[in-house]
Amino acid sequence: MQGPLGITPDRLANEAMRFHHKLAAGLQTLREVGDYDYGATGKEEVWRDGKVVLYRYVGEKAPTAKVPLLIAYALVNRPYMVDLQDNRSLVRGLLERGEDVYIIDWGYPDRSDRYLTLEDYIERFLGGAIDVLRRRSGLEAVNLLGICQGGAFSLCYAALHPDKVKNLITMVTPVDFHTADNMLSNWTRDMDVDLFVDTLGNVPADMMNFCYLTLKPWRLFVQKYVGLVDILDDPRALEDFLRMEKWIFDSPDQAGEAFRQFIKQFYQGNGFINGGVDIGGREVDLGFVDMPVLNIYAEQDHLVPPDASRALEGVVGTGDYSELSFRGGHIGIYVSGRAQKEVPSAIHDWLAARAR
Amino acid sequence: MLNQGFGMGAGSGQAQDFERIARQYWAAWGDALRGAAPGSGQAGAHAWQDAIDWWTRYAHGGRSGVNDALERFNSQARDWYGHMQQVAAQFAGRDHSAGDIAQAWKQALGAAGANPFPEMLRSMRGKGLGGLDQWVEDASPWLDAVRGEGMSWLRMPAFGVGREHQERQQQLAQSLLEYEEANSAYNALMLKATQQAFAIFEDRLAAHEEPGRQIDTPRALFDLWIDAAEEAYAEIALSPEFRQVYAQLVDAQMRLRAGMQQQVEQVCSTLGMPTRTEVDAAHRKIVELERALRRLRDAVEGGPMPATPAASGQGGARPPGKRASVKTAAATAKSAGDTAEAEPAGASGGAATKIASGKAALSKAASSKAGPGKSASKTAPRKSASSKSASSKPTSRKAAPRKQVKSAGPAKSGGRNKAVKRAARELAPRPSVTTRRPPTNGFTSYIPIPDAPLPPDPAPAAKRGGR
Repeated sequence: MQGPLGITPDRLANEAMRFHHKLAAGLQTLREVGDYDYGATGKEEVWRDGKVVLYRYVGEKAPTAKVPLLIAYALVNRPYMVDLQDNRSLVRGLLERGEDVYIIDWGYPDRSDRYLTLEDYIERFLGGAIDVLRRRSGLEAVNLLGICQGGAFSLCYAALHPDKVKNLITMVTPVDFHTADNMLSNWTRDMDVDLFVDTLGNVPADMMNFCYLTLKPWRLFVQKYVGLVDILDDPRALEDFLRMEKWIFDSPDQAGEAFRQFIKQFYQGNGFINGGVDIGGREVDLGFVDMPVLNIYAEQDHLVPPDASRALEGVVGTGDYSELSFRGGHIGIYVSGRAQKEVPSAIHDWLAARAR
Repeated sequence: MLNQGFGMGAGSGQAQDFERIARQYWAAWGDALRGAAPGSGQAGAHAWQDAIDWWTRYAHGGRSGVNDALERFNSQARDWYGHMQQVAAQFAGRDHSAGDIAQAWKQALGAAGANPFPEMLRSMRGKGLGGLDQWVEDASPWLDAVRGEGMSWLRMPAFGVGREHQERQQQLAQSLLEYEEANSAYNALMLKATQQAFAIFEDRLAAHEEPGRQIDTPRALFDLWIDAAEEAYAEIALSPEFRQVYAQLVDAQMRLRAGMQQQVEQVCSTLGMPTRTEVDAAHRKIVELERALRRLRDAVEGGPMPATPAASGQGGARPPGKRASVKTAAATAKSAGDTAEAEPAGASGGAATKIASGKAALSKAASSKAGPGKSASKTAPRKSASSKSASSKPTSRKAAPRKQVKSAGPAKSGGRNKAVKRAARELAPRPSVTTRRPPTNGFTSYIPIPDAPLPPDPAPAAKRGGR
């Protein structure tokens, strides 16, 4: 048989048979699928401002770290990705190592939040949460872990209030938004974001989801669902799949004005590199980020390419800059098996070395 | 918690139905493989689609998250993978070439074969997804009306009592035309991606012609197509051409939506109903009031105040400014007559503004105590040349592979660098420890309002004419 296909009728029949068995097993497995809700770790509300809530995670043992660690996630997805399930939880890994972990939940903005700006998110909400933690701990400064867009917010905050941030960790955080491999940046650079926000008000979550999936549409929307058949006979894998699906499609709308500012100042203006990031009338200069910085990026990140993150080294003012290169993608950095082994321990060890 | 809600759990009857469908599917594939009848491959594909359809229906249950995933599985596995099975069956046990397979795949996709990318993007719908196409479909009754009436008005001069209404209609019709043109340009780019994808697919297939490298399952063939399609799409999606065409598509749809919203506003206004603009204005006032109060609180409690109140609110509407800090810092260093170096604002990678390790520049800046706000940020110090050399960075990056934690370590800060940091902190806005209390004052969030000053005249209220 000449040609690229070595498919014989027998092999074709075997694969079809395998597919059929998986489907048949799936009927039973789907009945057995248990709870695929998210959130493995208990948490208690500490502070609230509007729809934004600050939570403290409660581990099985009391934290040994003296300095609270606040996680600031992106606005575009829900923050429970850092605590998705018991065996895939960055939070759990940090708690087990003695960190005192808090997270800011941005909530689900509605039309009444359309006029929230970056100043509101960074000074009012993030700043409010940090002030609460400073007061509770009696410390001048706390540790801050910003993820993705939350990392950009954290950089802004740290530059504007360097005395309030003891150590800064950025994870998969874009800094140079104009690297050649940044697809999102390419798509937003020429669009009229004023017209966009003036027309839509808030940016609908469904539109954001669609946009993210179209970064790799064949892989994320065709291949992934065909591949679902492979795990139809594995209840645990199916639960993991469904949990991830829930996270992907559980997205908040984006407050219009904050979206407008973020696109203009970062995606279009590349403000961390070129200057021009303005938060409530104050220019952000990363030269003020003079506290120790740990920058963690993912080597196969299709949303925030590694070069976009690595640019941080060249623009921060600190002399204590570290990088952690993670072999994985934008989501794998929280949920993969390797992430559970590498990321929490790297963060903890880095913080511990600077705890004095 | 077990999921008790699945329809297929209702009894064995439905499971038997599924078995029956599966038998039909097998029989059709058996015919296809034996080449028993012309078009039997097509029949096999149809049987496959029926089987997946039935299966999805059985598997549906009481949990929406599961149902949503099943629907996506149904639409993707049934169509795309079903077609690929059909292609694989055509060549099972027969001689063929890479071109034959690529051509067969194109034909198997039917009408979409000429340009499957838009078809695939259109298939991306369901709960939690809303692309541009989706809106066009949702708004089709209104858009059809615009097509029917508005187009005929396009070239008519507007005059008389209905002039403004006619102008709005004309504008809307024009927006629809522009959107359709933009959509055509976008689809043309997708066609380009399609052609590229088929070419890559064929190349990749050719690489498997050697004995021992042959593809032996329909699934592997399907994955090969996915890789080819993704590669072609990425090349287009990262191009400057796509940037322009995509922006024009989005902008055109926004203009169309805005035109329709304007019509609705007009009708609401005529009927005395509240409009979106009015509701938005109220929301805007509330948020601005909250923001003003927070700033006031920060000021009262010693926190930072914005340097330019005019920049508040819609700061994002301003174009991104030039990096004033570079010039200022450089000028500061120069005027101080010191050796402080100011690097030009640079391209990506880095070197944005490596400035001011010069002691005089720093001491001058620090001694001036510029205070919070912009004046402080303009003199932002950067890493000293002694601690990190900008010019050496790219070299070292290339020389040393990135590996795990690359740490400068806490001890890295040298004495000179420490001075830079100290100066930065002095220039930075002072910290303010604010005390937040539970919401009590009626706003969506608690915004402390400072106590009003006591009246100058402490006389009893009755004496001032009060009760």
